[in-house]
Amino acid sequence: MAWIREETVKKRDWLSEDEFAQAVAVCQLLPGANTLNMAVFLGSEMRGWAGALAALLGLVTLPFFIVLGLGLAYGRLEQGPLIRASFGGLGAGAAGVALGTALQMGQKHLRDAWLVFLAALVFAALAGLRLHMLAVVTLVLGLSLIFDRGRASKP
Amino acid sequence: MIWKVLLVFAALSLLALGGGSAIIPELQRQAVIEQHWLSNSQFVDFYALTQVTPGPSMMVVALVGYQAAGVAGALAAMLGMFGPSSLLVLNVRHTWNRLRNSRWRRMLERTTRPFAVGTMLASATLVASSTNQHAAQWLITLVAAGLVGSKRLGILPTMVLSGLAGWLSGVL
Repeated sequence: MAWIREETVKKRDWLSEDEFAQAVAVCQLLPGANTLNMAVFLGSEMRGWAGALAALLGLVTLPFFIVLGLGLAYGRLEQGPLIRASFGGLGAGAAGVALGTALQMGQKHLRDAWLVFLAALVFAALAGLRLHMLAVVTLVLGLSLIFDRGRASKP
Repeated sequence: MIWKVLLVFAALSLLALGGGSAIIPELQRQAVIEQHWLSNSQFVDFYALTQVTPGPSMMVVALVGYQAAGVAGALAAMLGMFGPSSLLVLNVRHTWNRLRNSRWRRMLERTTRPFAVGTMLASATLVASSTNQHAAQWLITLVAAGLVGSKRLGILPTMVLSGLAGWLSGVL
């Protein structure tokens, strides 16, 4: 995201600092990967839907082939003990990265008890109860609508 | 099978509130437990792999699609994952900017953050509980969490170190 800002606002003057901030706000709010939403948003601002498509393809084409190549290699791989140990380390690291990111985001964004409660609820429903995600999204939005309206209406 | 892949990912696409990584727990449930497209350990391996490859971290969807239905499945997964959310962005980007001060928008803004934190914690728990079998692995998880959580080290170097640590634990 910082890189997109650098390229579009600072280097190329495609849009202003304020327009960029608005785009980020909208893209974080809508479902989907934030960087990809951003690509679609900025692409379409400049060249309509063709620009959006170009930006999207530009962002995912190369990673797609790299990842697919790795997937093919993974299928052919002899799963010896050393390979398993390395993947064990990678998996453990990936879990740690997710935990660290969650802690960092939590510290920054969960500013009151209600928000902490919602995060804990989402966690328990998905990891503990293994509820369908549609149920979790509906539950969280419903609860916010009923109990959090007063606070949300204050700026 | 390709239609099934497309459908599963299209639904996930619109549920990814608060960012792409939000779908990881649901993706694991659907692909491993419900559809049996791949084993749990394959899923965790793919997830870990896509954390060290360039590009959006959501590229794990391509590998899950590939495992389900080959190259066509990988393409269907990408289309399903990024199509609906992109169409939504295209259609509502201006409406949303005008709604800047609406109560609905503010409520949604407040809700997406805890949603992102909760889903991320669930991903961490699911991945750790599927892959961590030795004390050494739990140690790697905690150290990685500490490094990333305190912003001492970026995600990519942390992942590389974790892989090396795993390899070392295999050598010793």
